[in-house]
Amino acid sequence: MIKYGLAVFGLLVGFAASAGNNLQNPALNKVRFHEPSTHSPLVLLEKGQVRFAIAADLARENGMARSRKSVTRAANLIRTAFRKCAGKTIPVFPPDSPELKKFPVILALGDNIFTRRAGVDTRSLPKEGFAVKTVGLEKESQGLLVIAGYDGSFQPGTYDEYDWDRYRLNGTLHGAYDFIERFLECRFYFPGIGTLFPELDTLKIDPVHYTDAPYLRNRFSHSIALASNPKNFFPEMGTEQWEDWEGHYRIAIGTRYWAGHAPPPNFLAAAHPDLLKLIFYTDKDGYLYYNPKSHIGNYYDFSNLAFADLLLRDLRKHYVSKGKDQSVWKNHDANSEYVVFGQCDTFVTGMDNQTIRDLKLIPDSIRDSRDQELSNVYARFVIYLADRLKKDFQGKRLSLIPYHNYVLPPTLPQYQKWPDNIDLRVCVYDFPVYIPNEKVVKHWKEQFKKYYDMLGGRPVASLWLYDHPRNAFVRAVAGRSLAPIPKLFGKYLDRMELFWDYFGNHNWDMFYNYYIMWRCQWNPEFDMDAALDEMWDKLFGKAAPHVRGFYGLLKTRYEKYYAQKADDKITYNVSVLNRLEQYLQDAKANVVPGSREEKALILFSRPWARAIKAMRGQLLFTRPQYKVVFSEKDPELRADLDDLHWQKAPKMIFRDVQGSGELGICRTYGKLIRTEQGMHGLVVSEKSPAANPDKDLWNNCVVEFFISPGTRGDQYFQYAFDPLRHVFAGQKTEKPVATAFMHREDSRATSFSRIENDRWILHFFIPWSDLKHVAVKDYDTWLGNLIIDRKVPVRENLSFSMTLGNNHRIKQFGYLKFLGKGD
Amino acid sequence: MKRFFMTMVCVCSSLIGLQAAPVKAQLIQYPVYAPQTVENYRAVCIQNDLNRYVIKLVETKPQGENPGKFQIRLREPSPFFNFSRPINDFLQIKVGSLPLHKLSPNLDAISFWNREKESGFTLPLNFNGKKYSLSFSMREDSPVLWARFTAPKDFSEQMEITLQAVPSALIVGQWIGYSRFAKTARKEIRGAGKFPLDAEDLYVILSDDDLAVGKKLDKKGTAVGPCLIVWKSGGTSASIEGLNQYIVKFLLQAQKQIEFGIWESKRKFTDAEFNNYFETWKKTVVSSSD
Repeated sequence: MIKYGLAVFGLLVGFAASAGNNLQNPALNKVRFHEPSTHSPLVLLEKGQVRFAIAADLARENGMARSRKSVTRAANLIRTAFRKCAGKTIPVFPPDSPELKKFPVILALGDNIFTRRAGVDTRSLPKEGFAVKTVGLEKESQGLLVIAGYDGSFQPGTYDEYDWDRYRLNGTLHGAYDFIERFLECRFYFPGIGTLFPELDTLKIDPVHYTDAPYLRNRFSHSIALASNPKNFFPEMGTEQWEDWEGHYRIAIGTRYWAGHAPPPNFLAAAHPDLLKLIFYTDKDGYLYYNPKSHIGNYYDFSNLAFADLLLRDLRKHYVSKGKDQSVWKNHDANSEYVVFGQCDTFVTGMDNQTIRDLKLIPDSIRDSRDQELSNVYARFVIYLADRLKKDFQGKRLSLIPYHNYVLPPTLPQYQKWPDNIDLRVCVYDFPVYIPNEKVVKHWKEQFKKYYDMLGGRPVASLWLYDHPRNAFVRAVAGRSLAPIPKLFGKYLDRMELFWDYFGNHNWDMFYNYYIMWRCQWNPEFDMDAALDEMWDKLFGKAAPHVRGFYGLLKTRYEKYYAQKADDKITYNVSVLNRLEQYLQDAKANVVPGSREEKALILFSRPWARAIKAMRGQLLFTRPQYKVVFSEKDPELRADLDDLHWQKAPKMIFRDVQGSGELGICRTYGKLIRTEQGMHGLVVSEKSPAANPDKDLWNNCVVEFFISPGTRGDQYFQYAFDPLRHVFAGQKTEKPVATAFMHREDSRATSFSRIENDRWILHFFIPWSDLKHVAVKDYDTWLGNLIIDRKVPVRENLSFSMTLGNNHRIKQFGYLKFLGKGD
Repeated sequence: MKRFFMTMVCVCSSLIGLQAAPVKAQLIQYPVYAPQTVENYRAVCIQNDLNRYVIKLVETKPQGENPGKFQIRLREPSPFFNFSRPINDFLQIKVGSLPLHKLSPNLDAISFWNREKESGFTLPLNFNGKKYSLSFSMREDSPVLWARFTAPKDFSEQMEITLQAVPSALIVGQWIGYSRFAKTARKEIRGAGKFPLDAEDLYVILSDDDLAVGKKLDKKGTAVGPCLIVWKSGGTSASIEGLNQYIVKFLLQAQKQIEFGIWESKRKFTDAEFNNYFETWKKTVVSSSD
């Protein structure tokens, strides 16, 4: 009885100490607790004295890619944590080392004899899952702490020759992260001062046993590797070291599944230079959608099943060579489980050829549909491809990305039953931003149900999510909209992946948003607000309430207004902007100059001055007017600033496209003059531009000119010019009936550039005949805009009239008033 | 008493006439409605002891589907009605098919001038390469605002000037029709339609049968009284229309030059008072139009 009482007492004490260990901290991942063993607390560190060593079978990871060395990385992580928290070096020994006997506690990492003695069978854990468990080793009078997970490095045959290093099963590493967060209270918010290693003098661990595994099998973005590079850090972060943020965020692709635009069009073109017309789509005007200089501009002809046959022939070569032949299919696009097919990332509408007409693949009901026009064309192709794959490459699954104007299911009944070897990543442009919007969610749920039925009762595998590309107020909080997705779509959506397209970079000044987003990828039940509350307190001290208020206001405006599609002028009205500024000012008043809190606040505040200023500019937006003077004669196309023809023309100053009013690093101005022959434009932009002849126009610095006759915005013409005299021309009709955007091959627009004195001078000319039947009259007012897209030395977009990031938005065009002769 | 008072007005006016102070024409600061909608703007004041006119030259910004417009607005002496509010462009000009409101005149090119007993300003107007000029002026001895629109020497094309006026007042509430009338030297004109005027008509005094100062429809006392248009007839045809509308339009057409004068008053006049007042200054009005 006494023994029992003592055991209970010990348990109670243990649980009380557990509270001190903060095991159930709501700010951390929700793990699954199991009944722990009964033993005395394990003392790893006592008043600065190290009482444990790591036992790990590191030799089993020799020869592995670094990203897959789960146990090695876990050991390094734990040693780093103890070094930084306690100033102590923790020794590591192989599991059979006699040295281990000298330590009261053994920390067993990964699978080894100790792990198994603790009753942890890593092979039975979920992939990437882990267990943290303490036991007493009575025979040796030692304590044992096990952190071990399902590691691909320890399971022979996990990886094969096709796999890329993104595919990694690092359960032990994930367990190590959880351990140092839960027991040492380490935090990984952002590099440098945002990585917290609290001081530690004594560490006592009560009996514990818990497990965890990720909800989503794939959690990855290449943006994290880029963000880990010190050149992408801000000075106040205070580090020049490359950091393992893929590890910190527990990022991995845990399966062989992935989805994207594959195979690369340049690979196909190089392998089959004589078959370009079979591979790429030719439109009814004879334009071949093949662009050797960049990805965009290419478009596979998926109305042609012979193209599918070609893909399969190349696939056979790839597999017969066991992945050595990557002339068309890269190994991760055609691996041992999946074949990934994705149309090129070019938006094409109005596909038209004999096949499409004969089979009536584009009925009137979906013609010009933004989401569905090509769904039948696509479905026919992929069904054929999947059936052939099933027959000729047994066991392989076909990974597809419904996207653009084939994102919705097909409408024709003959294409509504898909083979069972298809997995879909549906590219939902509305998500995550409109997740709080019931109507939008309802619409997509209906689509996913259709896909579910088409796939024979199987869910959509994955979603391609798009962060907001421009709106900082939304980007700062959109990460919290990932978590609800699994519950909202239930059985219609699998646990494979919620791919986060940053639509930009992983910028550290929004670290808090990405922190909770990646945590929710691990577990959608993650308590975001508890984690953020803890974060504000740890990072900002007395300024925390004001930072909390700032974030809370952004969150409310986003969920209640922006996601409900309210006008930005209501969502971020002057009162809201004033309050946001006040929060930041109050936060600033509550940090000590030079302190860590101040530096963290500087990082947090980085985007806001400009974003708030830009929003104020948007609230005040009125379309600017430029007066286009008339010239009797045409200036020579020489980009000559001293040419007298330009003297009368006023300057058009370019500013930030988002409305902040800023002039940018590459100060730019433009001039327009009108002659009887056409329109001349002159653009002068400081700093030499990108002008790579091996790249297409859109990868160089570009000036775009948009012009719309009249003031109704019925149609517009687009021209783009780079420093190498490349010209792009296109046209779109908006009213009375909107048509597809048409690329114009017949344009006679031309340009000339000078790059001198570290600036770019562009002179372009557009003949009136280019505007077909539309003629300008003296004193007419039209709509138009000039925009410059700089790639070097900085990426910035500047324009005459603010575009808000969408150059084609006619409502944002300015006015062009064509003056008469003599004005 | 009233007769004595009127006599005194006439005498004093005559005395003032004998010792007329010089005319002043200058740019002034003057408020403009909805400045955020204005592209370019100047206000010019021309005044003598008998009257003060404020002319606003306003180029508006384009808005929505509406291109910007250039307008010439009169805002004094009468703040409302006659040639002022609600009219935003009391003076409309067209050369051939090109209307003034489409232009973007250079308002920095306004020049002020003084002649013997007359001062004013000139605004150059470029009608698609043809240099016209528009001048406004006053004479020392006259309450009339004179205007002159002149074609370039070596060019002539049909020019048209439309003057718009809201004689006396607007009906507030239920519209029951207007009873405008035009009194010339020869006749009175009432009714719908367009009425040509000739040299013998000399001038038109615009008023309203019912909306006149002191009449029963002027319950709130908003009526301001009659206004007057005079023009030089040589080579210029004139007509009037809209006498049953709230805006009366007076049209002048010529090839080389159009000259006209307008007269409105800050002080409210009944029709009879205006007629008496007009008789006092008739010589300065009519003779100047010869």
